[in-house]
Amino acid sequence: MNIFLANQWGLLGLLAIPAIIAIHCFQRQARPLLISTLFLMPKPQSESRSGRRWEFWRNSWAFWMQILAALLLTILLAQPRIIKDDSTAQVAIVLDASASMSAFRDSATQTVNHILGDTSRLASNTTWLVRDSLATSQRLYHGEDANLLRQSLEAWQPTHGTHDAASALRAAQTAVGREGRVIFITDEANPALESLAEVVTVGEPLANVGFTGVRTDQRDGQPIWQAIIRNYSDTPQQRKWWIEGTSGTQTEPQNLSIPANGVRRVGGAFPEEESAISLRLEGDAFTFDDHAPIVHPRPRPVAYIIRGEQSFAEWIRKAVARIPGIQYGAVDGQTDLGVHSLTSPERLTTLPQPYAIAFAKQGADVGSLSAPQSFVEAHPLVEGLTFNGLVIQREDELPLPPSDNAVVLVWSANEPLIYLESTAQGRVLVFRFDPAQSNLDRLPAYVILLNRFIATARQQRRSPWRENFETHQALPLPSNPIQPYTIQHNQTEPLPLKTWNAPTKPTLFTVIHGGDDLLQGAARFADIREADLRQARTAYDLTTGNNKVIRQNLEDDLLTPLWALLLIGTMLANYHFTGRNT
Amino acid sequence: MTSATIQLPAHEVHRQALKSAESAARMIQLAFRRDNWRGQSGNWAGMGIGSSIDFQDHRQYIPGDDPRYINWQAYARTGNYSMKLYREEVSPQVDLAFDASASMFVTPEKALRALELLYFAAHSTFQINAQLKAFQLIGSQVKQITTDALRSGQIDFSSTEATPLTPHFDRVPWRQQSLRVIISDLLFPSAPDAVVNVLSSGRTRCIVFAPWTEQEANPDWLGNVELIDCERDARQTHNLSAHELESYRQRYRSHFAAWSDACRRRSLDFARVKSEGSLTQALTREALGSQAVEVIGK
Repeated sequence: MNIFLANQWGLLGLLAIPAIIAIHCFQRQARPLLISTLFLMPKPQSESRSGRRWEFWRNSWAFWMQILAALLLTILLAQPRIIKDDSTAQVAIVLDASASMSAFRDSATQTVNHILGDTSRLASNTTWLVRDSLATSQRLYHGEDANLLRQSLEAWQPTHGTHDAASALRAAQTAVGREGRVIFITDEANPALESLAEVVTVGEPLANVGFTGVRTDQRDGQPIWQAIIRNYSDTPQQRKWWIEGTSGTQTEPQNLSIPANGVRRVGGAFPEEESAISLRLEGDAFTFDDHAPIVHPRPRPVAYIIRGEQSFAEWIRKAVARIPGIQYGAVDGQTDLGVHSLTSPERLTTLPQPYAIAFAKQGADVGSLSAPQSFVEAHPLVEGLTFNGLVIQREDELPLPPSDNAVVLVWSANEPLIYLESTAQGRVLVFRFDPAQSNLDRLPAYVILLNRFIATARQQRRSPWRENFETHQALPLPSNPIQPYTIQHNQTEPLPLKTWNAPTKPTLFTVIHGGDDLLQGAARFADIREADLRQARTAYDLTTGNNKVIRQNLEDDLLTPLWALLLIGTMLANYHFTGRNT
Repeated sequence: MTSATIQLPAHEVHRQALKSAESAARMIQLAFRRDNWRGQSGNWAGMGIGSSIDFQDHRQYIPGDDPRYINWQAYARTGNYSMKLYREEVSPQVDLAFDASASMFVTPEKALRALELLYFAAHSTFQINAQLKAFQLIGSQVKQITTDALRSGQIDFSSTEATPLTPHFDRVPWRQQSLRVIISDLLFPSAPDAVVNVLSSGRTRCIVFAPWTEQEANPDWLGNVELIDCERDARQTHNLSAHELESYRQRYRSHFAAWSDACRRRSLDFARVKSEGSLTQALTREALGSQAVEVIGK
């Protein structure tokens, strides 16, 4: 039979016991009595000594009656309740998956144990659901076995950046039902989530120092790197840092002083014959930003050709000149992108390259100049861009009309202006006006759109390249690989690449395709919001939720009237034994 | 009276005690009739030959006898001188000793009852014109109390001397064949026999009045108490349990049982007089049975 105390504060009644003991050790102030029969007084069994206020505890009936009364009063105040035999409880524990929780992983595990202890007492059968706070994550555990639940916590990987846990909390609430409890374990209080779950915070304010950003560049033809180290604390910090090469070399650790809330920059050239290095910082509780791997980037080439008049070709070359890695003509016998000037829409479906950009070809004296009001669709290629201010040569009807399968990117009034056409070979980005008869090259949106489209073309290029990523970042690998990709961290055995994302922890890695290195990458943690641990707090209060479950699952103690009667009887007995009735 | 912690009875208390004693003395008196008296001529029949009208005996004339009591009629018949003897009428002698130790005044009730007994004994004596000598035992001194003071209720019990453990009854100038009246609470640790021997010496009768209070017989001193001796300022701090109190009560009863036995062995009239209630009731209830007092007229 499980017994629960509905009012744990009632246990404070036990404090009466030491108080009673103290009182019984404390001499009552002697009443002075003037008598004439002192010579008849027997030798006292317990003689008080003048000047002593404390004496050894004296056994008496009154003492034991008072102790018993204190115990009964504690029982009445604590309100013991009995859990119904058929009671059930559903509890969802949502673990914050953000990287800052990695600094408090042990505390979070202990908190889960506390929650297990607290919630399991409230019902005869408790079903737990454990998941992390990512909306897309699967549950870590679902069942009634607390030991298996604890084991499942090992799969919890708090490696992600800042994210909104609301979706995960709602999903957890749905899973446990309306009467179920959702407990969110995080390291920083978030009042916005308190309406969705009972929030338990773990951790404590910590001083953290870490890499906040890296960049690479060329200086005098030599690849160089730079990194910024930041102190996320209100006190100056001292750290050692060093560089590790891929061949196992390591520089001598150097001391670094970072002022409170300040930054320090470090940098240097890549070692000869080394295309990657790892920056290391003396460890602290938050280790994600203590390691910053860097590769000297080498983009994949994009081979393009131009089909059009000389003036058009020059115009295009001028536009793509600043895009890194782009090369005119075939590379390794492969052309990735074609840029065409067309007059006939039928040509769109016969373009040979998998990716193509098509511009309408117009005569110089056809139509009049127009500045159409443009509207941008929600599409990754044009997200955040605006084409207002675009001036084009307007005919009665724009050339190169889209097919039914086309995805319109930019509208001019109710007429598609720029769209994406899918063909048997690939995708064609179509501009329904002649760039030479417009001010397109002066619009920043055009340059960005061009870069984004060329990037999609580059993504399908199966050529080795080097690139720096953030942890968890999607890897731009060519789709439809001939063989499955594998990934190799440092010198370990290659593993299947389950999701095309960068590793979850900072590391150098290599993506291998068909036995060849396709991508040499560096994954670095870059969410500086997670690195600031000064707001971490510990707060554990499940009283409200517990009381709710208590009301649902507990029966009143039917012996309460008996305790009350015993208390009254004990007090009367105490009154008797203290001699006040005489 | 030596203890500074005890307040001597105020004049008002004396007046109250005197009035109460006079009232009681109109119905009850000391047990004068239980004995034949010797002494100066008076109203009570004495043990010897006197000049009363009550004929007692004849005897042969002895030179020097008062010729007024020669039985001339017998001389006429026989020619021998014989004397007619008549009973003597004497005035009783009463020696009154009052223990004026602080314990007699420890509570107002006891102080009043002690004074009532003193004035009662005195007025009983005055009513039969007995010869009274009264003394107060105060400190180590024995001071005589004047008749005027006893009649007017103005007795001074003040003293600067320390109270001895046992009142000095042996220092009282007891008279032979007098009625000795002792008023004392007997609350001293001396053996009763030693004191009783002193009181009973000299072919005399003795009446002992011992005032007592319910508080000293059945006290409610449970718990932590500081007991202060009213006569010597001695202090003891006790944490008294019910068991210890019962032990005290037993000792108290044994103490007075010893006094009662000692008095009975030496034919002393012993009467404990309770302080609670009126004097008349207390004497009727507790002294009449022990023949320490008698009802007037019976």
